Amino acid sequence: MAELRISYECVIGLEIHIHLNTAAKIFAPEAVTYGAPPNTHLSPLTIGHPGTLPYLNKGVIERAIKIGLATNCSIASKVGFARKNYFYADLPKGYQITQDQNPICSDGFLDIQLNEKAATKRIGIERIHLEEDAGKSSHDQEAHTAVDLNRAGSPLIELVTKPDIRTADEAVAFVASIRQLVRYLGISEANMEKGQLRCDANVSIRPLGSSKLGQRTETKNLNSLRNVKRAIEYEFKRQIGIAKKEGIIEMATLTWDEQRNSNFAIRSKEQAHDYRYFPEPDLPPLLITEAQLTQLKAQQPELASERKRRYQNELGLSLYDATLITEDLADAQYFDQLIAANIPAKQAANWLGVHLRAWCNENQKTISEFPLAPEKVAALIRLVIDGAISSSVAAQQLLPLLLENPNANPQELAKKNQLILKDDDDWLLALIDATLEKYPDKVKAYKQSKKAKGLIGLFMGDIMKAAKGKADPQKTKKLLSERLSA
Amino acid sequence: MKIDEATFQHLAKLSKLQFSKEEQAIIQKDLERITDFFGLISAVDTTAVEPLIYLSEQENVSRADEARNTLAREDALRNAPKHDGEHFLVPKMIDK
Repeated sequence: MAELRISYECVIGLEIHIHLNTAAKIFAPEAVTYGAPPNTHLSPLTIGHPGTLPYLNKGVIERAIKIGLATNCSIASKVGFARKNYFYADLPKGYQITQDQNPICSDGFLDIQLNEKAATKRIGIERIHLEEDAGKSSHDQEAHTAVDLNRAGSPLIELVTKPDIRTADEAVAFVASIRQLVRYLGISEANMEKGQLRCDANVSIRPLGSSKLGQRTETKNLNSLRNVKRAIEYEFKRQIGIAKKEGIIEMATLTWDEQRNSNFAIRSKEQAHDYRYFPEPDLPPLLITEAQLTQLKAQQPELASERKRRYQNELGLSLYDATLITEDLADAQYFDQLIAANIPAKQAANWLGVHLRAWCNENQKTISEFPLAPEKVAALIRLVIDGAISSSVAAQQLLPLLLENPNANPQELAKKNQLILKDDDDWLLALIDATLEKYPDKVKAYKQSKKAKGLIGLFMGDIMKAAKGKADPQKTKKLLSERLSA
Repeated sequence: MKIDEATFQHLAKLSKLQFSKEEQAIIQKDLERITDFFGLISAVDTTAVEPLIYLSEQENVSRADEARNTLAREDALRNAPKHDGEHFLVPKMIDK
């Protein structure tokens, strides 16, 4: 019998946990912190003392509604919580307060794009619910597990997609879009390295064309976009391997081992939890009115896609520049400030996308950590626009000088370092003539053959070198062309 | 309600409790009597009744997002059976 070749497709659903950037925890008053000394941000409630009651932080509700609105979800009119019961030392109460049957946001969607030119694809969002985070256990000590409860009670949203994602690249695009969205909404820093955004991937396979869902596995705690991609690709291949041998794919909870580039099971079907959800009676229901929703809708900030469109339509940026600048909200805000300082959009985009980004990449920092205020950079670009210095000198010499003296005035700094262009035609013509006299053969070749037009670059290079950065390239080119055609 | 062997073992596991054969016989019987007792409530017709979740009539109880610390570390650790001055120490557990 001929071997049947079945093509499989991957079916992926994501669960994304995102820390909300409130000042205080979700049900307790102490601060939400990262990297604070262990157990320094606690309250009797957080450490599970009897007689304590949870008290809901308004800030988390507003933030959850904001992402719900931005992802086209229905917002519940009545919000209640539920207890998810399980025993673990970093969960002192013995249950996690979360939402079960009635999540605050449900049934939405987000459109993703694999790149700026690809068609959009709609990914359904099943639900977004609120919950508290657990503490942290470390197992490095010999005899004990050490528990730090600072993180316990930090506010989280969990976003669950429909199984609409088909490839690892789509999954990465979705996570990146959600990360960008929550940053634009200002509800989370969503730093994956700090664990502010964590992703679980539910993966199953089915023969191409089938509409039935296969048995899925869940890979937990993917903490970078790279790991999302690798873990899904690995699990897809693993399941195909099993299916080809006519084996059975079993339900399992897996963890991704970055070093070994493979996964392993942390829980099998037999060990599956029984969480015994029930409504949390200690938190009275919260009613969300239409008036509140209308008000929050009006307060929604401009999102990346809208900003991108505006940059193209109103400021005339290319799709490429607009995409690059709106990728990160901090970049877009910096750009806006350059525009506010009357820098033309194309030049602002160019400086931000090339020179400032180069500094960020070199120093592995973000634009928010760039030492120069937008006004300072605007003053520098203004010198180029006014023809006082050349753009290459501005980028290669004045910018580094300014970074060393962030408080200096760019114009004075340029003068002090003799970077100002010399506005002197006689001086420039003398330099041009000196160069042309140096290369009589090439001048002849240039005049005789159209193919030798490239020689102008050689002449220009020589002249600019002799001018020590003080010749205006455009003017030099103009004068040089005149001399050559004379 | 009949508490069969499988249900009993499941409950024991969830409660992190262990029972001898003799203890199990007694507890199993007790559990059956307790669930039967609560079963009496099923006699009431609740077709048009909303489930009662909250005993208080309060709604919309929330506080402003302001952080303040209410418990010093040394106080938090004071009741812990074991600690190292910084962490709560619990028996070794590896979640793998």
